[in-house]
Amino acid sequence: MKRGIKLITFAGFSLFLLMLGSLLLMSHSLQNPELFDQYYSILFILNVIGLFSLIVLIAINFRRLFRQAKHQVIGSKMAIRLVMIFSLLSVTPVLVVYYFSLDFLHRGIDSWFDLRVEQALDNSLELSRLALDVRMRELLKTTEQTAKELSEFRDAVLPFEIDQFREQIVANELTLFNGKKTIIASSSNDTSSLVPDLPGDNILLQLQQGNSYIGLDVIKNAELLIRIVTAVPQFDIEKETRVLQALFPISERMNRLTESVQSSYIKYKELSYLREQLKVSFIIILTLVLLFSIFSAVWAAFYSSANLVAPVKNLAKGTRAIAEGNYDTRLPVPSNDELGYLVASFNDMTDRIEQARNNASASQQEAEEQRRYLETVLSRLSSGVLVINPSGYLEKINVSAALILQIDDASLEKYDLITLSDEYTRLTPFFECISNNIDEHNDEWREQVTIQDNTGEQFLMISGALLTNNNKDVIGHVIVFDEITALIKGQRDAAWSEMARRLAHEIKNPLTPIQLAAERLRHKYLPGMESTQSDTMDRMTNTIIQQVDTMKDMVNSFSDYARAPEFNPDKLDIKKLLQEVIDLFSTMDYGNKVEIEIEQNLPDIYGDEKKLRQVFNNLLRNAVDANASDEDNYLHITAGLISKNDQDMIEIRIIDRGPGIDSSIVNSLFEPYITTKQKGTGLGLPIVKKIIDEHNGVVWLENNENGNGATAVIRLPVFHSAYDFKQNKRQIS
Amino acid sequence: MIKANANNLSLYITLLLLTSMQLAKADVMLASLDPYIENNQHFIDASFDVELTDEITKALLQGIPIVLNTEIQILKKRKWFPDKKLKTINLRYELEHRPLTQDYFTFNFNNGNSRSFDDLDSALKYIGTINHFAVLDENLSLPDSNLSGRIRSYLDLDALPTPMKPQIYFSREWQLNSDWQNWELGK
Repeated sequence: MKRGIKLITFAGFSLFLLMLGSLLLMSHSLQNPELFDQYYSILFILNVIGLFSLIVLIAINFRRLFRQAKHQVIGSKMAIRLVMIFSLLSVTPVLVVYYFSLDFLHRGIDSWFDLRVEQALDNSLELSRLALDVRMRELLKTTEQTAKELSEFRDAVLPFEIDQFREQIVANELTLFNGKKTIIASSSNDTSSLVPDLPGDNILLQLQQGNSYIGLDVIKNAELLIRIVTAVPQFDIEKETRVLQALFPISERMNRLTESVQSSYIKYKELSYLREQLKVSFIIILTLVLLFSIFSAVWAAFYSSANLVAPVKNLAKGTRAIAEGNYDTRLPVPSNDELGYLVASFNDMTDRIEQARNNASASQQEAEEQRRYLETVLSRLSSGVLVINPSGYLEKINVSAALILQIDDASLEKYDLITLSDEYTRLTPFFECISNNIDEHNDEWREQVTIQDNTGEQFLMISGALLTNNNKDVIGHVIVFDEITALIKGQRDAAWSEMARRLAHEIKNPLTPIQLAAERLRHKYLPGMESTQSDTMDRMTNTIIQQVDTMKDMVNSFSDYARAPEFNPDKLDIKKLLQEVIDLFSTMDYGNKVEIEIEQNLPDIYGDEKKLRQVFNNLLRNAVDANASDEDNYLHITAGLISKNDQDMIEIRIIDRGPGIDSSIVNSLFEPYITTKQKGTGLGLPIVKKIIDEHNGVVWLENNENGNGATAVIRLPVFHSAYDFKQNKRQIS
Repeated sequence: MIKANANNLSLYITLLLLTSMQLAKADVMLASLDPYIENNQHFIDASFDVELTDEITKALLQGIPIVLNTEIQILKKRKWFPDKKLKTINLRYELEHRPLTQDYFTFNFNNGNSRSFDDLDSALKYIGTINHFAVLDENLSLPDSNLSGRIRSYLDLDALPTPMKPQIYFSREWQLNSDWQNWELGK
């Protein structure tokens, strides 16, 4: 495309030069016909072809431009506007000049011709004729006189006499010939002229009518001569007609003057005749020049507008490229003018944008890397981390936080604390604690929160701090929390164990002397007492001994709880173990209707058979004891595989139809010395809890939904592989 | 014998031309053509009837000289190609009107001779006549050489003053041309 435009531009420029040269030559040919006359026609045709070619070129350009404008090509409308303006600016003065030139041309050529000049020329010509006419009449008389004299001579002697006659009348040439133009005698002062110049037939015809001929003639060397032809008088009718012709010279001065008058007259007449043609020729040339100027101006307008629009077009394209994100766009600098400066500035701007973009990209990449690093760190942290923005919305939550709070991390982000508190009622204390500290604008704070649910208590240690930017503006809050349930419970268990151990020690020591004393009293004094007193003695000592035994059993239980027997876990078939315990209870016939619902193919677990047997015994005992107050005595035991937090677990439910659990103690049932039984030590459920904890499981009690009885729920992790085995073993140890 | 044949041919051509002249008005027409051999040279006698249009006559009387060009070409016939031009002869006469002497002045560009005539017809007849003009040496025209000649006469527009040219090229008044007339150049 560019090559085509260059070719058209080159052709247009060549045409311009060609036409300019041609017009100059045409103009010269009008002024100097001798030089360029023969080329006038060719030049004229060349110019017409050139103009036509220019029109075609301009039409092509217009068509191209309007087509571009139709297709919304960048810069086309500006180019059209520029072409219009340039054309108008250049054509208007040219048209004005053309109009006045035409006027001047008409007036100028018309002013050459004046009626008085023409009249003067006619008069001078007439004067010349009259001057010659006088001379010619004199010469006619002389010639007629000579003819009369010659008539007396016979043809044979005339050649000898004629020279004398010629010299006598001072003629250049004197010729005598007959009616058939046969020369009888001739005399000439020009020795080089052998043949005399005879008159035409029309002159002879005039002679036949009796009139002599007299006239000016130009003969051979364009010298003006007076030709007189007259008939020689003939007295003998039978004789042949003879004609005398005399050629007389005109004086050199007169010849020159008459020639001058005649040439001026001819020139004037010629100019007068050519007046309109001259006007037309000049108008044609002027029109050609006008059209040439207009078309050249329009062509130049195209060329200039193309040159002007090109950088603007490039700029528009460059801007569009920048808008599309192509920042490596560079434009060619057209020149050192303002447009060039603009394009250079554009290139500079794109340089800076590209540099800024690269910097931003690098910063973004760096920030992304930092974010990824932070994410990795946060995800590897065992502590839960929350980031809350100043509006109270959760911005970030790490994996550990979700695990600790037992929620889906993705569901929390972009929620505010109040909504979260309403959504997760279990976590209300947690979110309230955070809200309160944020509302109080505490820079740094630390607080312990206890979360209650049906599986027990969860203790969280929460610490928070303000996040600020460089301007000390608050941009959020970071909350870090750890689950300290194990620690708290460990401490509590240790305290309880210590208390049980001390209690056992303190109580157990005096029990034996009390029992021995009671037995000695009985043994020493009972046989000698009266029956009425002995009964009392017997009953009282028995009571003391029995209560001491009971207290010993209790102290042993305390001692067992505090001592924590050795834990020996192994791969264990929980279904078999459960079935054995249930069978044992069935054989004891407590009068319960037992319904068992155990899934087939339950996977193994990793645990201590003896301890778990104790767990099931304790829980079944509790259930049977609870059912004792109910006539129905219905006991429902289920075991199945469930999946919780991507972990496979075996869930065992022991459901009774007893009175249920008092809501006031439902959260503290697994604490030592909490019991609803009259004979209970309050250590059964704490031991159960302790054993299940040792197995990384969970246990809780809940009232049945129908309000009839309670359910003990145990969840134990499934044993998968040797790896699990090692992990579990390490965790447990 | 040769002269007799040539005369028959010229008579034939003259009759043809006279017939066609009935239709012509102001134009240049070949009136007669008489080719002949004399002293081992090819000669022609020819005459054109030259009649000027009113516009040309007017221009002549206004001092515009006109040039009548009689063009004679010797051609060699070729079988598959256009005839080859062996020789071109231009006989040019200028005719102008002299207001002082009220006559018509002719000038022969070929030999430089000039002559004046009292009336236009005589002048036109003079410049339209060719007498005893040698066109080719007989020795150059072999019987099997297939040579021919052709002749025409026309008003030379290029010789007219330059200002007139833009108009005369497109004006029928100024188009005075005769057709080409061919003759054989045999022995």
